[in-house]
Amino acid sequence: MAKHRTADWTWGADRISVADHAVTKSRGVFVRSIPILLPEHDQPRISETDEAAWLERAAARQRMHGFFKSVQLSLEERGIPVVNPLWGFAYHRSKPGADLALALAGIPVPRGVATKDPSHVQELIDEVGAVVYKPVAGGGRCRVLHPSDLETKSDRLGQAPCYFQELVPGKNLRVYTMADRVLTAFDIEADDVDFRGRETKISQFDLPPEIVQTALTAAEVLGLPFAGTDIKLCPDGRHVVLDVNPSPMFAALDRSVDGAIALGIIDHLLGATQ
Amino acid sequence: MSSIVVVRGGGDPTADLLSVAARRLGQHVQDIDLRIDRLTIDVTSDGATVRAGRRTLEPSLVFNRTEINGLGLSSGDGLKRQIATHWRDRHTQGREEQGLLLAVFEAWERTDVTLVNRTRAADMSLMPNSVVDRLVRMGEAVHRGKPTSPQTEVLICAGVPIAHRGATADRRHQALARRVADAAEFSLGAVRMSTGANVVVRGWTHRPLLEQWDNPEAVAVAIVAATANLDPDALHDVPPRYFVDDLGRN
Repeated sequence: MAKHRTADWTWGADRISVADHAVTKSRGVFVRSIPILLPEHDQPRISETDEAAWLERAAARQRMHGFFKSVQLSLEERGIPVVNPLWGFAYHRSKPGADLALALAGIPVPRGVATKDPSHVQELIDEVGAVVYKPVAGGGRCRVLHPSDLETKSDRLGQAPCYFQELVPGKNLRVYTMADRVLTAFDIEADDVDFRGRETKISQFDLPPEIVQTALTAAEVLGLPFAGTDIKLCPDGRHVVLDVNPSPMFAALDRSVDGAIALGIIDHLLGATQ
Repeated sequence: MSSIVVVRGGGDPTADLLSVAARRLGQHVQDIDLRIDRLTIDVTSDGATVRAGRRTLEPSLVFNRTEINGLGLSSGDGLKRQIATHWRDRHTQGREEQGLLLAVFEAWERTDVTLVNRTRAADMSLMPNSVVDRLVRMGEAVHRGKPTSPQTEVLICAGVPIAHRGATADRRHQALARRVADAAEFSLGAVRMSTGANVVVRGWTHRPLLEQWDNPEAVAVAIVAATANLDPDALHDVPPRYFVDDLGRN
């Protein structure tokens, strides 16, 4: 859809169309993502000093994104299955917000504090021991907080909040779900606390029923028919949800399971209207 | 102790007005200024605790005057609050602050706190086409271009018309303002409409500037009373320091 300009669209009470294609007659829509880009994402294309030019471009892009998000919401409100729905994506802009929603639904999540106050971080360390930190709004890497970090990085913390969570040891599971079923699950071994890009071995994993239930419920709570949920399976047998991704990457993993993930998405979109 | 919290993102006479009005109505008020106050959210398996510095906030009603949203970039105020040296980093910091505040508002929204407005109102303001689409499907006419006839503007809060300005607003305008508030998902806001035989929606905002309305102190009292279910005539004396000196009026 996004290759068309907003001016190419016509919008009526009965029909939304682009280039003579009535999108309101679609059987289903898959939305990869409609990202909000920050200057750091644009880095190769912007000069060091030109904030005004970037803001102008960003404002235009935000208006365009608002338009496409409006299309997405309006399709949902007309009963067309959309994977994933708009508000499910919105949850991903706040890790603690998503964790809170999960916790209130009885889903196990790590204890966490979002703050820019080092004293609150110290309280968390005193309570849980080892701690990791990650961006509050998602997108960046998760790192272990070393004892000296609070002192050496306190100035940086004072400038922007960060999300601190208890370090949960165990097996990294990535569970792909679609609506009420698990499409596939993987055990991802890595040489870093954040497995992304640091994978050393990936293998399919048979989930115990309680983790199946957790993954399905977590995705449902966050309004995500399709989700890639990261779960830690601890040595003592308990498990906690680290993240529920609304737009998980899956191309490489999907090849190893003969397209089970992509087929699951398509089956859902086609089947949902039958 | 239960209280009313007013969260503001920058200099905001409307936030001042609401804060003073709540005090005049006998309420305990905590002002949170995001330029100064450091908010923390603590997530446990039982829920969340929100703190401003060392103070735990346990409000029954929150006036959210920020532009925090889950779908877009930081607002101008949001960027001004950030203190990084390089402008590029201020945008990243603004995004992180949005993430924290989304969680804070989420925590309040998920308990018994009345949140005016929810962050969804700011999200919907980024998707005006969706609001128009909802109104059109309700059978309402929307023309957001330059007005060609007299207009009226209705200030609405919790479904209650609080005030109007411009041409006279009748029941049709009040009913339509409620429908726009529903479509745009705001509790407190203002709706501009044409007058005449066919009432047409001209625009709306979820962040009305009360200081631009006649008798803004009384309007603010009416808003707090309507939201907190209080008697708008039961006013208390408050120390002069709480009154707003400069409303930016001519």
